[in-house]
Amino acid sequence: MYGYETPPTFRTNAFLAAYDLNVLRNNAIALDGLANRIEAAFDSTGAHGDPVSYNLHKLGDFLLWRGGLRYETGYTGLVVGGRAASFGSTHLLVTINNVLKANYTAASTWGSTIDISTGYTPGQILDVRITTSGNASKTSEFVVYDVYPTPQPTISVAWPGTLPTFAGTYAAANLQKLSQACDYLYARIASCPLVPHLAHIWRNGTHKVEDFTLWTGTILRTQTNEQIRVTGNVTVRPTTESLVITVVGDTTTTTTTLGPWSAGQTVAFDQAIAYPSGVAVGEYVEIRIVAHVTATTTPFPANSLYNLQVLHSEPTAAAATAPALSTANTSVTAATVDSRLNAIATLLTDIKNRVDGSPSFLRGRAMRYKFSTDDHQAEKFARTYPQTFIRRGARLIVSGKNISLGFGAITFEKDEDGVTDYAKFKWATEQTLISGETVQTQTIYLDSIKSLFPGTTYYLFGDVQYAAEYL
Amino acid sequence: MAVVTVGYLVEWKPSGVWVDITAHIKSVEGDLALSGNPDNALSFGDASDVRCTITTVNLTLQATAYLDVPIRVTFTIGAMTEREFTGIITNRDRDQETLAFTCEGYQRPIKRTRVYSPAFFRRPAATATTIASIEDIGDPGYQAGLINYALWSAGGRPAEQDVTYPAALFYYSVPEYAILAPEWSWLAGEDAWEECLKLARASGGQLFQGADGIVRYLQPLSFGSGTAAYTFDEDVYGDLTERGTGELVITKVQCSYVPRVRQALQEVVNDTTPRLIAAGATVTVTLEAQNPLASLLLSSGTLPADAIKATFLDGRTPTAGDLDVTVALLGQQITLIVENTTAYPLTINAISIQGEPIVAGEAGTASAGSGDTAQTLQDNPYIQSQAHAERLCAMVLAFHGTTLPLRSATDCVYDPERLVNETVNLNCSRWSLSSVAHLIVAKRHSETGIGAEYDMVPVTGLPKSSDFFIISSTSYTGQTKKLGF
Repeated sequence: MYGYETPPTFRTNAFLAAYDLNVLRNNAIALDGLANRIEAAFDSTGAHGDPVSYNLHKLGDFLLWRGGLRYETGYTGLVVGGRAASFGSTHLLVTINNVLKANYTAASTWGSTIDISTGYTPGQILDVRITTSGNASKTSEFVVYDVYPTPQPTISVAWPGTLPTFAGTYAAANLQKLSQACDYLYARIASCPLVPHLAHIWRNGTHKVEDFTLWTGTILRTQTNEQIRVTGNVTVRPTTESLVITVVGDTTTTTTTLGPWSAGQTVAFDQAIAYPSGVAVGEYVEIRIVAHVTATTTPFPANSLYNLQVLHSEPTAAAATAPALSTANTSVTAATVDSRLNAIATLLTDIKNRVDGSPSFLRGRAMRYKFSTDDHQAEKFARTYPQTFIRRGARLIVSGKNISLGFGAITFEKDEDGVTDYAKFKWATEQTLISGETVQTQTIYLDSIKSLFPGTTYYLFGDVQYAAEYL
Repeated sequence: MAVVTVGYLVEWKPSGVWVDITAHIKSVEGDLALSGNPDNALSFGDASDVRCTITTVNLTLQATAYLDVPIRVTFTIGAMTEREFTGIITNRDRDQETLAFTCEGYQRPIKRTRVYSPAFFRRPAATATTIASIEDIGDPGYQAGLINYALWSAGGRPAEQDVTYPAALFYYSVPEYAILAPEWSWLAGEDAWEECLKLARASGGQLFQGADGIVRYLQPLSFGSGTAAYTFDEDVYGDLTERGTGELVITKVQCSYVPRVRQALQEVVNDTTPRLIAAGATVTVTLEAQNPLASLLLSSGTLPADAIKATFLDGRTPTAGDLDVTVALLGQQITLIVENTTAYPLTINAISIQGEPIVAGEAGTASAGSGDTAQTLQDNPYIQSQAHAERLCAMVLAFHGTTLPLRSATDCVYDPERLVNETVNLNCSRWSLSSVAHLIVAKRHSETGIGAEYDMVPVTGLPKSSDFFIISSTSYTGQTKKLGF
């Protein structure tokens, strides 16, 4: 993984090398960053018509949620849950690979852990679907909070125990504990894949005077020093429109209003949002993003167009302070060497404590399939709702058919009248990962994709049935 | 005036024991150099060059097979006795009256050793040999370096364990760990000596065979670590000359590297050669992958069931247990020992093996220092990361950033106790040198025990082992030292 390298092996009677100390130091810095994980929001539903919003959908039964996860050795349960309101006598049916596995009576809080200990093979992609049964209202509310397997993936490296304090003696066994600590933390963090969220690329808002829900989902608070971030753009067409972001905690709800904007404005927004008070680590917040139109143009009212590109939680704490780099063949006191080694040990211990306390590293959650009702809509929205990653890892496992990767600037096609068709566009760089009509699972080494540097936002589009990035 | 007696002893071992052949010897001539490059005495990696020519007084020894016979020469001057050459006979010329044996060091058998090894990850090129170090390449706990592996495979045994291996072809010794370790190192049947030299260059060390026949790996910080027990005073040498090496003073060192990356599991061998195995018979199949392999995909210690496609001659497909396959991986070489446990002959139609290949990436360049006087290190397949290249450049710069003149003391009385790689003091009033520490890097003797010349290089100011922190239980509290490269 970029910035991290295999830690050194220390041998008695070998030289204590500046390079090896620097590897430990740089690894600690990289692990500190990795332990402050940016977690993608969990996508529950999109907008009405695309195909359903959490509280406006067709009368009768519908596919509420569809996603994929990769089965690993040791998994015994699939945790599925959410909330509901105005549900009447609706049931929620959970299928895995078209086999009914759970039948929940809709309730304000619904869900359980489904047994997946047998019947699946490691590496198999599971297709999970949640469908309503007996829904009799267009405005019943259903929000899926999370879908993830349990227990935590096992790793083969053990934590070396309390890290040593160095005081003028540099025994191989003590130095090796620092290397083993790096190994453990890397394996622990890498065991939980980075799952994408769905971006919205120039999707339609509304042209009516109404509150139009664009997206509903959840974010799990994984550490104390954390906030939510929503980033995107809007080309405003109604006369007056705002974007309202509601964050619902257990006891408190906050509302952030961006705008109001007027017709013709093109606005970029990058909004950091604090958790409502009372939301502890390990608790979910429900997030609703609503286009709030109070006046529309006449004649010829038109929909606004929205990008929602970032929906995630991010750390707010400053990065830890790292010790100075060491230089080879330059005199240094033993006290200085001690302080650098002890600073590395302290940093690694702090990282361990943070990882232990964060639910980020307890599971590799399922990935939400793009919003669509049927194959026709799925094909139509192939590029509109791509899976979105911020590159941090080295490997991408992707499963599905006709899948491409794109990143960079977007170029739109124009129709015969020269009008921009926002549904037809290309990224500056596109590369086919899986071609053909057969479902395949591929491992992509991201370094092989030119100029896809760490930190780059990239998209997967096509029939993506599962995708996750690994360190 | 005391009379100093001079003598030599020549022995050879054509059949397992040393035999004194001094009575048949007319002359011994040869030289011994620490570095094979006389213009670059402390150059990393260059081989030592030990040779000797032994001429006989008669043809008595001509009946004995001579090729690769071990031979050694011991000089005695006064009370000093010292072995001056140990090696093997590589050639014999003769005329009507005499034989002339050309003798070389153990580089020859090592050079002819073709060995395959596992791929080692970040293993020091040479690991320290001790009385307890595991040097046997067949030991499950083997953790020694690839140079150790090659030398053992060539018949060498660690000098520190000579009691355990009294009949070794030769002995090797690694006093201190190599400073640098390649990302991946392996042997794939090449000239073992050349591979050892590449490893030595890549780790900033030298391979050196002493007059005692021990092949040693020296890491460069050992050059300046010795304590002088002898002084080349002005009455020891007849003349002292110096060849300046100003052109070797460099301010920048450049080095290229080719990364080697372990890739994910994939098909690494797909062999469709048909192979017939008779009923109850065993065949050995040797396959070579395109790249060295970090591991193979195995199931319960053998190949997965679908790796070998085989059929009986009547068309039936073998079932579990019909084939017993033993797998061994050494670098790029996969050896399968396949036994047909049935009473019917079968044909192997295809073998598909999965493994994790170690693949070369895009080359890069690293450097240390700056300025116009740059040295570019020789390309080396064992320099596989930018960090390694930078460390090596920094080490070379530390040794070649100052002048290292080559000083030759000539017209010396031959002193068998003066050894190559020995630290000595040098005095020269005309050059204002007084007890300046030097490393003997070469010596030449002729006319059997009468005269000698010694080349030496000053080592004052060079980084040495004692300047650095060593990983150990030693307390350095209150001390100031350096961190290694």
